[in-house]
Amino acid sequence: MKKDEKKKAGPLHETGRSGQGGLNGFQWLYIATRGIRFKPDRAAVRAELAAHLEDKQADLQRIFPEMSPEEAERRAVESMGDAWEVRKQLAKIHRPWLGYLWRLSKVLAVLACLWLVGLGVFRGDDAYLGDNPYSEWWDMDDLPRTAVMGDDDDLRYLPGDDPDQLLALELGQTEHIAGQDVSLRRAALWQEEDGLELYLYLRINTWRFWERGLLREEWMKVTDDRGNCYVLGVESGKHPEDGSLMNALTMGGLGPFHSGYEVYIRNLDPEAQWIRLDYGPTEPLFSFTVELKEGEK
Amino acid sequence: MKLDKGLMAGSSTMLVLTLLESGDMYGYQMIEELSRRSNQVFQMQEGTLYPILHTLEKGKYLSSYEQQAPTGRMRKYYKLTRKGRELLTEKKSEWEKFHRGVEDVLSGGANALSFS
Repeated sequence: MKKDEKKKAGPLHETGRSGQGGLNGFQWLYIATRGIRFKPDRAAVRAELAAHLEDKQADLQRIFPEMSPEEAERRAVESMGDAWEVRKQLAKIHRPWLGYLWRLSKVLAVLACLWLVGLGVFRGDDAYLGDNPYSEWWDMDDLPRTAVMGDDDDLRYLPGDDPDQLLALELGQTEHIAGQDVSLRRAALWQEEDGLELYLYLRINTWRFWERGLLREEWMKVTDDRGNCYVLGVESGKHPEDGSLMNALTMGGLGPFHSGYEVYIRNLDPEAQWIRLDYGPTEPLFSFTVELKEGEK
Repeated sequence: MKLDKGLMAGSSTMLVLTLLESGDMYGYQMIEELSRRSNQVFQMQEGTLYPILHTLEKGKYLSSYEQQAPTGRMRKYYKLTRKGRELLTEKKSEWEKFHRGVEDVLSGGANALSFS
């Protein structure tokens, strides 16, 4: 018998040895509950019966003060009934599969919750499942696929996917701010009919998803080496053809531990050698510079 | 006076449920209370009581909770549920029927064997 089992049985194991066929309290408890296969159930039933034996023994000693602890235990054990018969009955009631089924159901419930959370609240563009080969369950390369809606146009952000593409970079500039990693992941430049169009993708990674911040458009300042400042949002005006904003910062992806942001600049100065992003209310919290040399080929 | 175990066997569940009708109790308390209420006629063995309690609890006729005894040990108290009360009503009705039948047979009455 293990030491911890003796502890659980309380002081009874230390006292008398007689009783049913010489069983002491601990032995009676051990036999009576041994048929319960599910351990948590067995421990609970044993504790309950041990408390009963202690009560009985204490009462006997109270009523018969001259009775020895050994004798009180012997009588208490005797009154409990046949340990083997009790074992048979308890084993029949406490079937192990019920306990295991209960545990399994809890595990399944947790998995179902995670599944729902994955599909719902934290479902991101990267988790889109469709016919598009660029869609995947998890963002393996940490770069946006941008083809989540199945629109072929979206593929032009990838290197070499568009004849008008002047530049397509997969970058890795990262800054660590308040426990979150902000990185500039991608840059692409096109020659459109009405000028140059620049696309940038920013990503924020954090395990502490509840603390994840949102980027504010008004805090993003975009400048170039020629002293141009590109205003984002409504003030940048609307595209004459499709009516969309000329320059903008929009959310472009959301996963369990990341969020993505896209920056569009549609009136980029053709002479610009580099462009700089500064983000912050007054002083920049992070800054990134993108060389545009290749775009001038 | 101790009774033949067989006499008590059929009514054990009803007796346990009846005890809990008056309030929550733990196992040892139930045995003592049963003995007291029956003037020491019913001496239910622990080996009989606990399988009954656990069966009733599994069947949701009883619920349980733990409370610390003055000795520091945790005691498991049983409480009658609504389903348990319904079972008790059923058991009492069965018992009444059985009791009347036995009475009739013993008294040799005309309707002695009319119960089913």
